Amino acid sequence: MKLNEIQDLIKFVSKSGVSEVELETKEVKIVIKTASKNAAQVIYQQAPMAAPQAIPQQVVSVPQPQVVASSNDTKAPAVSEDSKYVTIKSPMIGTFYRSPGPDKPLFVNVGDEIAPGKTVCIIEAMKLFNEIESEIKGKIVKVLVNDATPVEYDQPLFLVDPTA
Amino acid sequence: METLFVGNNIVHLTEVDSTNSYAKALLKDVKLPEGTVISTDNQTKGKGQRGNIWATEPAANITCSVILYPKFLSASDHFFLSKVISLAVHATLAELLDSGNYDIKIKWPNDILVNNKKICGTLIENAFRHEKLQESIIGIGLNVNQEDFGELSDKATSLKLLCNKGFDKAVVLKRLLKHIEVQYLQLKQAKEASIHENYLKHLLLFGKTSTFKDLKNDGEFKGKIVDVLPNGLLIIETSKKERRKFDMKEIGFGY
Repeated sequence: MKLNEIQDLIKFVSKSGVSEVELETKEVKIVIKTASKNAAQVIYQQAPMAAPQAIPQQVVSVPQPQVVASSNDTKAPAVSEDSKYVTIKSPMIGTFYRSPGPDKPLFVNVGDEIAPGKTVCIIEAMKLFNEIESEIKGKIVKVLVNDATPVEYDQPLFLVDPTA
Repeated sequence: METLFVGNNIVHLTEVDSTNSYAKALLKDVKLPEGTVISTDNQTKGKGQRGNIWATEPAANITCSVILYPKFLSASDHFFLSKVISLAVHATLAELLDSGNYDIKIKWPNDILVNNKKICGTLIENAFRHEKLQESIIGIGLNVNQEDFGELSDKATSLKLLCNKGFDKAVVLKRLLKHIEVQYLQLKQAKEASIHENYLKHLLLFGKTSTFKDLKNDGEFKGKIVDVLPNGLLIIETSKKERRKFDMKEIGFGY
């Protein structure tokens, strides 16, 4: 299945008002869930290869339907306009958290507008919980780190489009 | 009040979900003077480490949050806050308890134990901007008059259980706030070396050959704590003279 076919499918689903569509072919399994009126959640799975490993999977939540593909042998398509984006980096070593608590809503999502002073994540180190505030205005383009994973000093956490 | 700023403003609440959350919400609306304290008789949803809870018996204990603005600390030094708060609690307890009968220790990174039982926990929430700490909310739970810890009774204790007498919480809080100010001012005056030295002096198992659990590789090894790095990582020298660094959840030690 080609990328543009998937994109067309997502556009079609989001316009139709259907809340969930599941499609399975030889190569891929696609689940499209429409979480709210303007947010479509896409789960794209590459069909498992011979190895019985965990199926790579990525979940993205975006206001405009968009696909993130992942697999064992191909890299996710690089964002070519990366240069116009700026990153929010970690000021310290620690664990990256996207919400204030396990059952709490995320601080920010892809597509959210942020402004200076807006809390974007927590970096936890040694029982000190550090809320990281944005210093820039713009729109979150990509979250570069998975929730609850370790980060290094200066590691980019978010990609932000300052012109949006 | 015997302090310059810590505790000069105290907001006391009969009941609140969490003093840290209350302080955080308050800071969004108003600029509070440094040293403002939020305290409560009954904290209903106390926070422990992420997802954990800090449960406390109503009215028995000290449950409070102290608001500080340590803008002078760089991001890499933020563990110093943890050190000075641990030292302040340690000093408060040393003043209240006769040191001959009570062994008061800091359990890395920042729990306070008396005779190997936990008496105080802290949870620090910071706001970072421009790579600097802007606000720090220091949540402290100190067990004062609680007598029953249920299933935690072999791990937790209170001043009352230790001394067989009740304590005036207002007096204990006053002393605690005084020591927090003393320690915080030390930090502000860049006395990092002596703070570090003091922290190690009171650290549980420091310099003592002990058995540790390597939680990553699920094995036990012998070694001794020889240092704590500025970012808080624990350094243990193994019996083979190898220095190993540990983060929280990577190391366990029976106490």
